Amino acid sequence: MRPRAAAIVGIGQSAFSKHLGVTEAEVAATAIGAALADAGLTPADVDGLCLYDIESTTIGDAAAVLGLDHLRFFSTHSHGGGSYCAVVLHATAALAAGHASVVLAFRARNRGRGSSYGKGSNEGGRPWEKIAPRISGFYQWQVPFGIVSPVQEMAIIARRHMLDHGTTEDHLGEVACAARSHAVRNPHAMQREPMTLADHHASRFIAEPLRLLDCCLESDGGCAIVLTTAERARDLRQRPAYVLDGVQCVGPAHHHPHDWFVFDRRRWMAAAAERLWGSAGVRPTDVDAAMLYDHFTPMVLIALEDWGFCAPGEGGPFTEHGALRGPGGRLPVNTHGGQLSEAFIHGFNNLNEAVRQVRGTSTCQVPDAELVFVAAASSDPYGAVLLCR
Amino acid sequence: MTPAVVGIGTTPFARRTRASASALAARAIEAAVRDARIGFDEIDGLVRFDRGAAWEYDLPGVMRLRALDYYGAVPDGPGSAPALVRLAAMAVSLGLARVVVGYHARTEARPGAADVLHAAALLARRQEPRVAAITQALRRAAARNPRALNGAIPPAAGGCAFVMSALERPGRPWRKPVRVLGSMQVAIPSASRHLVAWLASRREGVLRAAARRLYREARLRPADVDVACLYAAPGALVLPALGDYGLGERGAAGLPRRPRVNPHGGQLEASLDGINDVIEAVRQLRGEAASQVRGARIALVAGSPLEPTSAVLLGAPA
Amino acid sequence: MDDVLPPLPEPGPDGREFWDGCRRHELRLQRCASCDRARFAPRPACPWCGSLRAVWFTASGRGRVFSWTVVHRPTLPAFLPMLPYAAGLIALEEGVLMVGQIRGCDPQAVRAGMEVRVEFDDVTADVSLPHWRVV
Repeated sequence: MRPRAAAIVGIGQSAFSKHLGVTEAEVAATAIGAALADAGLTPADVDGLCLYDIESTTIGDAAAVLGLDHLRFFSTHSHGGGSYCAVVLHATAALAAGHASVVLAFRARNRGRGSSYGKGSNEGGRPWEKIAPRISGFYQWQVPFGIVSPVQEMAIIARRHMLDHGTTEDHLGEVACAARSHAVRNPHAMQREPMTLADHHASRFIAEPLRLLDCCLESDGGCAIVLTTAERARDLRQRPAYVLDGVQCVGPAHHHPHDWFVFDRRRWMAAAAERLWGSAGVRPTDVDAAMLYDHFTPMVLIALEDWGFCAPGEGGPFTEHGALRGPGGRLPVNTHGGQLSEAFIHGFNNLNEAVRQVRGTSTCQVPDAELVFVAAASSDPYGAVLLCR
Repeated sequence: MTPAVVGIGTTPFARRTRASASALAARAIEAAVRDARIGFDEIDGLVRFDRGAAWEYDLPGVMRLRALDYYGAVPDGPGSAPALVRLAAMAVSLGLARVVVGYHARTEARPGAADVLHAAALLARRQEPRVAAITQALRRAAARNPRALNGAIPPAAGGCAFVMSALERPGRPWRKPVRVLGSMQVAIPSASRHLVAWLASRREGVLRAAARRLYREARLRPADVDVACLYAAPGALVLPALGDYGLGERGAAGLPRRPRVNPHGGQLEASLDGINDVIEAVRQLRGEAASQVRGARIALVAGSPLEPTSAVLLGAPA
Repeated sequence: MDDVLPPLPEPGPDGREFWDGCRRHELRLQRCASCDRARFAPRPACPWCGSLRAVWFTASGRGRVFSWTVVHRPTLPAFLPMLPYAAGLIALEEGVLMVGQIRGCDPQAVRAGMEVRVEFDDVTADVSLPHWRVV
C-alpha cells in the first residue's frame, strides 16, 4: 500500500482506573467522543469501523448505542493484544479501497479485578475466573493441570528465555522500571510511584519467574483512534500521524505453551520483520520511539528480538544502560508507561501514545520524534505499524 | 488488481456431525484449494466469521506451518457472508495478499435461528398472500437440489470455503474465475437487540440506499441481475429483500421469473449463515449449478436484513 | 464437592481419544499418517504436511521437564490448596510438548531436564487427568 496514504487524526481515551463503575458501552462512548472531538469530526462523519470481536459493543450495537449510523465498512479482529496493529491496517485498507472515508477503531474494557458484570469471559473482570466447569477448546490442554492465566503461560516462556539466553531478573526489572519512569510523568497513568530494581525484586512472585511488577495492570478504560486519508488529514486540526507501513500476520504458534516452542516462530517473525523494514525503507535504528506490547516484561525483550532491534537472545542486554528510558535513551519504549504502568487496554493506549510522539505532545517527548514503531503482542497473531510525520 | 473467486469448496451438509468446526473448515478449504488448482503454500491470507469455532490456529494444516500475511474477520451472523467476500476482495485488490481463503463452518444451528425464521415466517404469512407462494417455490427449488436434505429443518452442519485471487495471472489463467464487481456493507441495528432502531432503519430505507450504492459501484442496474441468492427465511424475508434490491416484477405471484431467486433453495439447502449462498452464486456463474439458470452472467448475494449486513455483485467469467 | 475440582475437559471430536485414553491410564497421541510426525494438542490436520489422516498410538509416558513455573498466587479455587505448585511443559520421548503439573519434589527443586513419568488421577467417574511425577 502507498506509504502515508492514511493518517491517525484523532485520539481519545476514558479515565483509567481499577474500577470505573460504568458500562463498557459508556467507556467506549467516552473514548470515541474524545477522539472525534480531537479530530474535529462528528459521529455522522464516521463511515468505517474496525473492531475486536471481544468488544461487548458489537457492530450491531454501534448504530443504536454509539450513534454511528453511517457505517459502510466494518471488519473485526480476534485475539486482543495480538491484533491492535492489524486493526489499524484494516482501517488504512478500507480508506485506500474507497470503502470508507473516516474510520474509527476503539477498545473499551472493564478488566479491573472487581469490574465483572456477567458470567461471560468478556463481561468484565478476570476472564480466567469465569472458566466453566467443563471446557473445550485450547483451555482443555492446560487449565486442568494448573496453567490457567496468561501470567502462568508467559512465566513458562520467560523461564525458557532465561535458560536459553541468560536473561536475568534485572533485565525483566529494568523493563518494568523504565515503563514506570515514564508513567511518573503521565497524569493519566494508574501507577505513578517511582520504582527501583530493588522494588521490583521485592514484589511478590505470581508465577515464577514473574512477579507482580512484571505483569500488566488490571484496569477499566478505553481508547479510540480516528483515521482518514492523507488528503483529508491535511485539513483537520491536529498534526497527522501518517501510517508509513505495517504488517499483520497469523500463524500456528499462539502463546499457548504447547505451541510456542513447537513451531519455528523465530523464522516467521524474522520474515515479517524483513517484510516490514524492507517495504517501509527504514531500519530499526531509524526508530525514535517504540511502543511494544508489554503485557509481561519478558515479552518486551522478545519483541525487541523479534522485530530486529537486537539479535535473538539479546533482548536482556539491550535493556542495560537505560536504553529503554525516555526521552534520551537509545530506544525509549512505552513512553506513557505502557500496559505495565499506564493501563491495560490491549495495547490501544500504545497507539494513542505513538500518535502523541509524532505530534510532539507526549509527557515524555522524544525530541524531534519522526518515526514511531508500534508492535502487537509477540504471540499469534502479531503485527506492527510504523507511524511518522 | 481485479479480485475474483477462483475456487470453491464445501463439505456435505448434515443435520448432525461428529466433526469439529475446525475439521469441517479444513475439509472445505481443502476442496476449495483443489478446485482452484493451487498449492497450499500459495495461500497468504485467511478471513472468517469472528467469534467462530474455527480459529486460524486451529487450522495449522491449512497454513502448512507458515505464518499468513493477512487475516481478519467479519461479524459472526447471517448478514456477513457477502462481507467475507468483500474483505477477501479488498485484500487482493490492494495487493495486501495474493491468495486469500474465506471460510465458514458450523456444527449446529445458530441458537434461536429456527425461532427467528419461524416467527418471521408466521408474521409474513399473515400479512402477505404472496409469501405462501414464495415459500412453496423455495421448497420446490430445494427439492431439486441434490445437496439439500429436504425436511422441516434444514441441515446446519457443514463448511464452505472460497479462494480469492487476482484475475490477472499471466501465463496461467484461472479456470472460470468469477469477478467481484461490487460490494457493500451497512450497519443496520440488530433486530433482535434493538428492534425499535431496526424498524426505524427500515422506515428510513437505510438498506435500500445501501443497495443503490452497491449497484452504482458495480455500474450495474437491478435489471442486470440474473440470479439473486438472498438470505431469507422461507418466504418471509424474500419480499422485503426484493424490494430493498429493486428486483422482480411488481404484482407478480410467487418468486419473480427474473432474477431467479435462490435456485438452490436458499436456507433450505443449509442453514450456514448464507455462506452456501456465495457458493451457489459462483456455481451459477460458472454454469455448474444443479438448477442452472441459463445464461447467468450477474449474480447478487445478499445477507440477512435483520442485522448489520452486506451484499456483493459477482460476474461470470469473460 | 464441585468447587474443589479444576475445570475438566469436555472432549470434542478431535480430542476424545486422548481423554478416553486417560481414563484407561494410557497416554494417547496422534501421529500423522502421511509424514509420521507425532503431535499435541490433538488437531484435525497435521501442522507440518496438512494431511487429514492420523493414527493414535500409546506414548511411553516418559519425558523431561522442558520449562516450568512455580505458581504462588491462586487463579481458581481448585488450585488454592496446592499452592505453591510447579507446572510447565513436559518434553515427551516421542517429541511432543505437553503442559503438565510436576509432582514428587519440592516445587523449588524443579530443574530443566528432570526425568518425569506420567501418572493418572481419577478425578471423576469419567475424567482422569495426567500429571507428571519426578523419577
